[in-house]
Amino acid sequence: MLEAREVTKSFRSGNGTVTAVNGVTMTIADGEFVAIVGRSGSGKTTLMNLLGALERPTNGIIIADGQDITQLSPRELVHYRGRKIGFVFQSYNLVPNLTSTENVMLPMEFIGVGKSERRTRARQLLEQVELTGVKQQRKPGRMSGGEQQRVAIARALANKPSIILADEPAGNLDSQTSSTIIDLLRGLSHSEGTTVIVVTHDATIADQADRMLQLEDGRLLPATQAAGEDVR
Amino acid sequence: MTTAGRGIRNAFRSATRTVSIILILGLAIGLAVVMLTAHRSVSDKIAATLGSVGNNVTIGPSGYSTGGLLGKNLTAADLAPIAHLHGVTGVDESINGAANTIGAPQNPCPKGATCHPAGGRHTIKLGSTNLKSPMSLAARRVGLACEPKPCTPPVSGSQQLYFTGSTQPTNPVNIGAATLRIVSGHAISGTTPADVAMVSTAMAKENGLKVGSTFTAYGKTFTVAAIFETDNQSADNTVVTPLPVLQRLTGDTGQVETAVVTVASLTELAATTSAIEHALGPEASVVSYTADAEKAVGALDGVKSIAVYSLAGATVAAVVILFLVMVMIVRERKREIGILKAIGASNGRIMAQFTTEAVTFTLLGLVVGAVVGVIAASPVTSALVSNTGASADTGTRGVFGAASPYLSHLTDINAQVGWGAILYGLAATVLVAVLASAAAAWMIGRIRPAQVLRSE
Repeated sequence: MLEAREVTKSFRSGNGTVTAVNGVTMTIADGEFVAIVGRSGSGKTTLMNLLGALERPTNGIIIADGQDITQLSPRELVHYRGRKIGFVFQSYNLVPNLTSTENVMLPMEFIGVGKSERRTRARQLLEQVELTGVKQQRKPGRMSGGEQQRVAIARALANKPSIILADEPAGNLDSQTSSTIIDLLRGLSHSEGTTVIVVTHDATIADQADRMLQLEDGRLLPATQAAGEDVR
Repeated sequence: MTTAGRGIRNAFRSATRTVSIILILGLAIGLAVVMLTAHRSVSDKIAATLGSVGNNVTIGPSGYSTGGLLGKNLTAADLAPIAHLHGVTGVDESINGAANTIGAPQNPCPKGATCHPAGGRHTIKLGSTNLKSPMSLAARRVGLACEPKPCTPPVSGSQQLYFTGSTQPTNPVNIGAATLRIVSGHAISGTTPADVAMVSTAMAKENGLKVGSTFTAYGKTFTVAAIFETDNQSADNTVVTPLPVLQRLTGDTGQVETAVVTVASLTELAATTSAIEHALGPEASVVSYTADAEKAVGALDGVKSIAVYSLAGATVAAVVILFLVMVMIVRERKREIGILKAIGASNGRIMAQFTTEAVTFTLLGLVVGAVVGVIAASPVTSALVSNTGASADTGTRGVFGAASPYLSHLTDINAQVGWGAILYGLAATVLVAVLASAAAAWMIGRIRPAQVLRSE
């Protein structure tokens, strides 16, 4: 279970302080597929970074599987990100001079998985996202956006994380590919019991989620209000 | 793929950039290798030169060290107290003579004149011999001088041999050489009254001599007891006899022209030299070749200094080049570093990856630098040495009027890149890579993944 209690994140700006996330409290159950929606600048990505321990909140606590991640040491944060979180980014963010297989093997190397085991699992994951044959040996520069995002999803799954955080995973994709990627994430959520949190401003994607959370000016709107609004 | 593997692969991400970096680093490392080799070669030469001089002090009549007209010979009695001075471990006494080869033009010393070699000897004890000189025609024309001028020197262009009678016949200093090695027979005793002699291999070859052969000189028949090799052509033109024999034949019984004193250690050389000067007074001239050698190699010390500064400069240049390269690379890959951190890589692992990349650059630079070093070490060292003015002529004129034998070939330095230089280069390379990576590591540690990913 992932829980945020009164989480606030403020940044220093030229003219003062900007509060990107303001007193967010929420609970997400294991295996739930949640969409966080909101306009640009509403604090979606900042909230995602807080949940993924890429940033520390200014106030509040975040509890993942019973552990307050805001109190973790830098070394423990590396461990948390490596084992419990899988990130999927809008721009895929694959390492350009590594092949698909090598990109997927990367997170496993960081937690000490043996080379042959890494390679076997990477191939299995790539097959799971329907990338087979020579595509497994291609570098990102020679792949389409949809293929790169599949590699990114396979990489996010590499260490069997309990939470996948996807920031605009279909933002750069056409509608058909976008639908395939979301189906893939939802399928993982239901079949593997993985918690999937998708940040999006696409209502079509949000509609496919088990639950939708809406952010406005860093605040989480009540569920009833969120369900009735156009998230775009 | 491992962290190291990624670091190595990243070093080749851009072929043009990689080649440029390696070439620039290679030139800097090459300069460092050249300077290291020059420094080591010059240091070895200095050590060898000073080492070959040994702990010797040479004593001659007054005027000996300045090359002018000499005073009267010393005697064994004059030198007797020296053996008891602190630091003295041996005294080798010698006397010199010269003999014209039979049939060569004779031109006796003019009546009323004193004749001596052009370099400055006390008196010339000319004899005759049936030996032929092994020296080339040009080398034979050593010339003699006479006083007071104007006068006609006794011999001009004749075939002349030198004779040296010594209490230690195998001491090369007596015949103006740095080395003397017996190659046949046994060394003669320096105190025997027997008419025995040692000749050089060149002399033996020129005259068909071998151990047991005989020749005549000063009206006596000598038996060849040993044949030796030296490093000096003039020394090859010298016949070595026991001291009493040459004293008798030249009519200088009891007299000593030069004495070579061996001192226990280099550290005692100066004090012992002073003690000898004090004991013998103004009638003797006391010379330490070590001082001459130190003066002569002083110019080479300048080469060492240039090499050290250039080495330091080249190393700093390599560090700066790689430092800037690594800073540029880290700035360029900030986003990638953020991704690696986001998916579970520790700072240490990412730093190791970038350090491996830096080490790869420098190792390849070392290969290029080693090639540059092998090609350039010798000519650059020669140029540095020749530009310092280091020369054998800086030494004091010795027994036969020639430069000190220790200081010959002073500028002849063999500068070759050895394994030592390569290993030093390897260690320096790793150091350069680590130093240059330090800034990159600091930058990596400060990169916040959320910040770089937000710029999406």
